[in-house]
Amino acid sequence: MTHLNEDTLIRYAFDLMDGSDRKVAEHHLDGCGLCREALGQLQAKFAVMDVLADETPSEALIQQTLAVPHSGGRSIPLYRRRWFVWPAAAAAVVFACLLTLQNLPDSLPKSSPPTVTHTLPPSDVPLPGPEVGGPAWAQAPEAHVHTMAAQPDDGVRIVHPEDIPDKPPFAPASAIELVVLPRPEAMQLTIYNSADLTLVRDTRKLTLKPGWNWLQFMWDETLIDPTSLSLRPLEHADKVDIQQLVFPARLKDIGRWLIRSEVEGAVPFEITYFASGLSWRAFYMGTMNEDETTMDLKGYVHVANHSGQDFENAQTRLIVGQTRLTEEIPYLARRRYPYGPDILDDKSNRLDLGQWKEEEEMAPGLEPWWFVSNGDMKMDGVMGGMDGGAIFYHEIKAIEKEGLSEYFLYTIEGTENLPNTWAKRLESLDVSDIPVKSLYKYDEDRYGTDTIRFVSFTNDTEHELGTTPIPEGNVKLYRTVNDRQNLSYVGETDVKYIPVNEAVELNLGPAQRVKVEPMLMDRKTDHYTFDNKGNINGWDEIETWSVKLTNAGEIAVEAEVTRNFGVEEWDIAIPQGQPAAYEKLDVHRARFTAALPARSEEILTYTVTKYLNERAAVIAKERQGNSN
Amino acid sequence: MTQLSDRNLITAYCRGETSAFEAIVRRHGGAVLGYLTKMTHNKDHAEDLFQETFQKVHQHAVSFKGEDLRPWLLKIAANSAIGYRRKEHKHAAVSLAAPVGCPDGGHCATLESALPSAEPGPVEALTLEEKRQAVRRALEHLPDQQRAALILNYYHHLTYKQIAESLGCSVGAVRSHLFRALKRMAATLPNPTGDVQ
Repeated sequence: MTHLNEDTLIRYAFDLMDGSDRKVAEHHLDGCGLCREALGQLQAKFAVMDVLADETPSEALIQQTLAVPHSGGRSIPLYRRRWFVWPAAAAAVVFACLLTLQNLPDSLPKSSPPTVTHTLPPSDVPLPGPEVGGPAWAQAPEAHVHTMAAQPDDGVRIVHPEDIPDKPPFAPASAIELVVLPRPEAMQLTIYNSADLTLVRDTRKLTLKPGWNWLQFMWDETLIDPTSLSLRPLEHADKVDIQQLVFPARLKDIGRWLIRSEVEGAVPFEITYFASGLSWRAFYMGTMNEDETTMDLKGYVHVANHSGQDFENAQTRLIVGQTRLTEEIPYLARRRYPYGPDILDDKSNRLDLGQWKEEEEMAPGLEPWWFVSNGDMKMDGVMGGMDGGAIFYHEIKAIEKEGLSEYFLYTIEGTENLPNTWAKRLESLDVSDIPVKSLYKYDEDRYGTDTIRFVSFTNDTEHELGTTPIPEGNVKLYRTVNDRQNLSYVGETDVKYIPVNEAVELNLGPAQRVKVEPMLMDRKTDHYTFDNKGNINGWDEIETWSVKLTNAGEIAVEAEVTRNFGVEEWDIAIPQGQPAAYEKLDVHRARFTAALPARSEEILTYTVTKYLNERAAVIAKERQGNSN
Repeated sequence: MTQLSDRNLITAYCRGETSAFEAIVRRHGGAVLGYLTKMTHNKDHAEDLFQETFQKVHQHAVSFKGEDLRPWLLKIAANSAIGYRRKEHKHAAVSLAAPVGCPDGGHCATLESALPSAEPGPVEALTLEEKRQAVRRALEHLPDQQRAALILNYYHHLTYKQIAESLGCSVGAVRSHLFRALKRMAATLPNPTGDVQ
């Protein structure tokens, strides 16, 4: 009789045989004690595998796993060094707000209604909780689920203060019970560009239980200054008491508020804090008419978000003016612990603020030009879509401006979606037919031997402006060159902050079409004076200059030539009939102005007499006598 | 209170009820973590893959059409584990200080501490731990597909068809993987008498 070998016994024991083979094996086993014994030994050997039971996940692991979908797809380390990094799931949604509620003490009535979870109506729920593809930030369930206590009249229930124990529970070591994960009801950003500072005001409805509540706030991967965190109830302020903000040991980027509540139900809260990484800058495009007498000026603001945080439906306000801070918010946002030693967190590596700022400055041409249509700078749409596609607005959003005590506030109409690493450009100014003056300046003290082109206007009502200051920014100037509205590039410059009623000159750099060339034609001395010993102690120096002014352009221009004589007493003589006029600019300088017709050349001649040493004193005395 | 079915839980979660997700994690977390621990032989890695598995559940919940969630979960876990193993094979060196699988979610030991120690301990605990180590080592030596097939079949009682779906192969291939895995295990598992072959 052939006994069953191990292979056959394994197949038999683990049901890997076909029906006919199995019957044959069964038949053999019925009659063979040796094979039955061998089968028993094999089964006993495999029984040892049962020592490996299912593993029970720890509570911490479960809580962290529950938090992962709401943290934008990143795993949350279990308070120990992890070797594994989650595959990055699109843009960072790193702002989670968990409410951990302590169980009510036994002494409290247990009749409070159960906490229920419900979703918003479909129109208010852009996407279901679980991800279905597309950018992760828009689909995080936190953004779409409201959880609140069921109330008979949708209100809150007031409890008696005596029902609340005096002593608060100890700060939980981990998120114990995830009760509420509400979406922000309102978000406001106020961006102070001068200091890389943004004030974030975030309103959320939190469901409170009567008694002591712990509210956990996490800001991993974001540039939030934790020392600026503030929380306040917008309703029931007399019954909801924010007791303290705790930064648990060894946990980074987590703060827990202890809230004593005499109400039960949904209460709106406002969380405010400073963040860095948001910035805005202004830039302008001016288009001059063909004869360069008027200009259409369009202004834009470019808002960029590198804070590590997505902002959805945020009212965005921009502050024009300087802010004084004792500490830099970007520095505070990167410290390892809120009030701890000055060790910078590695956020500085993850969010290289300097790098993106540099990139922004080096590549200003990387503007989202795609929503500029047909060359007329009409902005038909902005990238408002958070789902990967763009939402196109039919109306251009207005930017409302208002003055504050020391700043000026630009408020962008409506709300904006500002995902992390995205930027957005909005129109801030659109004024037509501003009268401008085009002027060519020659001043060796300031510009060397180049003739510099300027376009000037005043920020006042006469120039169709004057309603608000104009923020600092870059100006690009173009000129209409023909009836088909083709443009030629004129130049660009940076302008400083222009207050109302203040004139501004746009320096467009060395001119090509207008040249100023001074030439010394003659020099002599005269009128020597002598001291008691017969030594020369004064004389006149007489120079004759010829200044050639050339306008090679097709339009008439005005030129301004400034001459510095280097002495305090001087006179100028201009030949009869010369069109150029001059004015004494200051004690050393005179300024000539001349109108230059198109394609013309003018010669400006003048003779300057400089009075030196004792002659200067004599002339000064004479002039004083004359004036008296 | 009647327990909601897996199907109802997933549907609720797709509607946005976050508490449903917690119920899913609590219901199936033990099986998933057990599977991943056996697959990776490392508790830390298993916990990371555990989070990754449920992250995928979160991402793809709407695509689940079945009634029983566990085979689907184990399929996701299997893919994660096999993907991890492939990456791990490229870096085969293991430190003695590296954490190894820990019994029942307890404190993690290291390979170093798992080596036979001169210090005496409770006999039963030592024997049990030796058996665990032997089983883990035996599983460790199996090729990925064979190990996955064996764990899914032996510990999680999945049918051959469900295993085939999990591993993306045919039922015949599953039977083949399983037989070969059992044959290897028979050669490496300790005898009931306590001798390790």
